[in-house]
Amino acid sequence: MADAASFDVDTQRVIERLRAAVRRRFGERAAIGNFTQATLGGSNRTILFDLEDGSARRLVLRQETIPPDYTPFLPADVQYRILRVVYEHGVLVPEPVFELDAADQLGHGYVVGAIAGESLPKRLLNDAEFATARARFLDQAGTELARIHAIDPALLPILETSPESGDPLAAWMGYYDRWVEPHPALEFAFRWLERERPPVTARTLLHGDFRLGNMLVGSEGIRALLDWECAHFGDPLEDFGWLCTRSWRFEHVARPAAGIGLRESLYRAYERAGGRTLDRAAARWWEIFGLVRWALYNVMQIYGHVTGRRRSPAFAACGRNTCLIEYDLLMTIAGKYD
Amino acid sequence: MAHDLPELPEMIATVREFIADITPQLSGLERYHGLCAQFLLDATLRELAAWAPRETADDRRLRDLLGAPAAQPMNDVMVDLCRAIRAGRFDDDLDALRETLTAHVVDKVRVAKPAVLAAEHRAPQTPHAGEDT
Repeated sequence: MADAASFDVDTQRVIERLRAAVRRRFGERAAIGNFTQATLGGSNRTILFDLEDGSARRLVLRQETIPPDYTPFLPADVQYRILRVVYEHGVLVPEPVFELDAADQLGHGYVVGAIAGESLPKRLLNDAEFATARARFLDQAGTELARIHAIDPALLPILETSPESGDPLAAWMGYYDRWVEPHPALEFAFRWLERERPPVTARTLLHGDFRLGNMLVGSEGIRALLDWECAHFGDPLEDFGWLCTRSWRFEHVARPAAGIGLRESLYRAYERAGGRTLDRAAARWWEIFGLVRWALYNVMQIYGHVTGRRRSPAFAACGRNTCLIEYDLLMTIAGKYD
Repeated sequence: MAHDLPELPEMIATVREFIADITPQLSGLERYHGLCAQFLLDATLRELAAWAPRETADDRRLRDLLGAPAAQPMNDVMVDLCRAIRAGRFDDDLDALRETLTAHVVDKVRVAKPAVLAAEHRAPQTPHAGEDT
């Protein structure tokens, strides 16, 4: 935590404009301070700060910093609309406070209430401090998914324009073609998915990136679901397949549901919370789809790196991480990995 | 062999960029070593400019799968193989295709992070897999 002067020049400029943006909305007497810049994650600038307008609230600025031309991620204004809808429906998300506009001169982004919590999967999966949170996790995750999937899609018509709200397989093949790197193993997987495709069971709002790393968790359990940039409409099994994808189990591969427990415990929690009865057999297809999708996010990052759009050692490493996911994918399709 | 991006020179260039970014923030002996590391990586990149990968067992595996001539550049083989899979050329025996592509992916993983391989893939598939034979 620090005052504005301790940051680099770019961040200081952002903080000054943020101060003006806050005063436009909360009055000239409103002050901000006690800044912290979150460094994890590669998608956005995230600055936590105190708002001193008599209420002393801690808030978070999420400012879009990547050129979205080559990613499938939803722009910040759409994410903010989603946040407002899901917040009104009681989903565990940070309170939406305001969206940036042109007068703010901060580009695209929004401000939400800050929530303290851990999001590092290795800590959540292994530290004794989170034992209670782990014991409650599948119940809570099932309940939150049931709440998200029950929201009327008509409240978010903008999501109809997402390619993934149409045919998800065609959407991801389209993204893959955009990133122009030949991957025979992924071509095989697309072929397999096409031929084994289960019937659609329902069409609901999906979080789209529902996994431990996108949650804030306290010792008592999940406090907030973050990162709605992949939200779209689709089969509710997609969110389950993604959460149970082998990559998101980390070293706990024998616990399919997020590295924490059994799939069946998660499914039952969802059904108890009012979610639809889930087709267990079709869920496997969505886990394999999830592995293809995760491999392709890595392909996307190396595309951004080698084309100079956004370079970093982390994105370069993603390129050579892709084959590890392809390996899990082929072993899963072969039935050697569960 | 047919590795994923980034190619070898790109990996070294990425590390060089990172060292160049952080060296000005260092001081004393660490700063000097940062400058020396850039010198070494610049020399490595120049030496690599004259280097070309040679045909590997994995290259031959993918060429054979496609039926591509030996003279066809590997990148073109990869593109054509992907097109052939998408067009359904291997649909009659997708299990056999999966087996061959598993061997290809195992060779990539042997370089990227061999510790994640299952026991059945830890022993080399081919002599000096991933290198010249």
